[in-house]
Amino acid sequence: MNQRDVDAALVARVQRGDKRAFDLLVLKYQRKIMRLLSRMIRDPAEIEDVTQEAFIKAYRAIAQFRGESAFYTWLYRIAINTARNWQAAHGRRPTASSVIENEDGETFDEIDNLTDISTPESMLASRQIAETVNAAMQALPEELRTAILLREIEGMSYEDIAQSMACPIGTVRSRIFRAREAIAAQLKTVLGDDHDPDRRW
Amino acid sequence: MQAKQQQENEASLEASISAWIDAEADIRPEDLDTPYGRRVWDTYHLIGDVLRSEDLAIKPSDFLYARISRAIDEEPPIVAPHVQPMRRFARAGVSGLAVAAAVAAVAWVAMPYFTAGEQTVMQAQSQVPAAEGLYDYVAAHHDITGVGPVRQVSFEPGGGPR
Repeated sequence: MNQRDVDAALVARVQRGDKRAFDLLVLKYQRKIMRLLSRMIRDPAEIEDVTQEAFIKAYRAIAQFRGESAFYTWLYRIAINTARNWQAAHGRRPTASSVIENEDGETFDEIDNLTDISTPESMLASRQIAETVNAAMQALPEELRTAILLREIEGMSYEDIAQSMACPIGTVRSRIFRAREAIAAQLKTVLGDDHDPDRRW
Repeated sequence: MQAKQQQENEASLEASISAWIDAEADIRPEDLDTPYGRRVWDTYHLIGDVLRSEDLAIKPSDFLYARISRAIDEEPPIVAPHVQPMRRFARAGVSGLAVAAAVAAVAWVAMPYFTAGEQTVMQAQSQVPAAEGLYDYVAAHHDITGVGPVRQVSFEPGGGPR
């Protein structure tokens, strides 16, 4: 089982009418889509509007998704097309292009002359999130830090990590979970009220 | 006592979510259909995103997720056709039918040539006047419309720029 299988399981649920499964895909990919769109659209507020539009278009088209490509490759394509339509509708054309490469190694010829998601507030929030995650990582016990790095950065399976760290798979599972929990605990203060279930969810 | 039990349930849910994110266990989306479950799912993905790239330390503005979720709720439900794997005998039946149809089509086309050769020759001869009529029509059409664009482009040896 890999990430593609996880997405396929969620997509299958959505195709059977489970809208909440689509929420999980939104939560998983919203940051990546926003980063992609920030290279095509200047206004940070509009980036979120186009992000929303892209996800809605993806939802409407998901019945036709048959899994020939990875879900996020398909989603990226929809997001890029949505942004292009938005640019055309607003009379804004790119002036330079570059190549965006997604996690699947697929490339998209795209725009690179525009700003990132950069209001002063959002930049501060981004810096706080990155600093908090990095500080929490440094504070982790060595075995937890190594386990989550091998998983998140190297993309290794639990089985491979277990061999590398000479420990049972169950221990790997526990270490990665504990690492995430420790970092998440530090993030709570940074994410603030937006992460309050009663408000946001 | 109840609080402790709830804490244990949450802890096991978090451990499960951690494994689901890593594709190390079969995901149960229905278990994530709570505000708490979605929050953990989101936070764990955020951690992974930031570890891979600080560019992904993005905090969407308030309620972006809620806006999308509400918009999805307003969409009509999707019912995609369920793709059933074709059964073996059905596949063999369809293949046989296709072969039989192909043979019948070839026989239908070829049969007149074997059974009525003279008739075919006569028919071909009888088509000549009609073809001549067609040439006349095309020639008349050229007279009206002029020379076609293909003829206008020609190579002239020795012809240089003027």
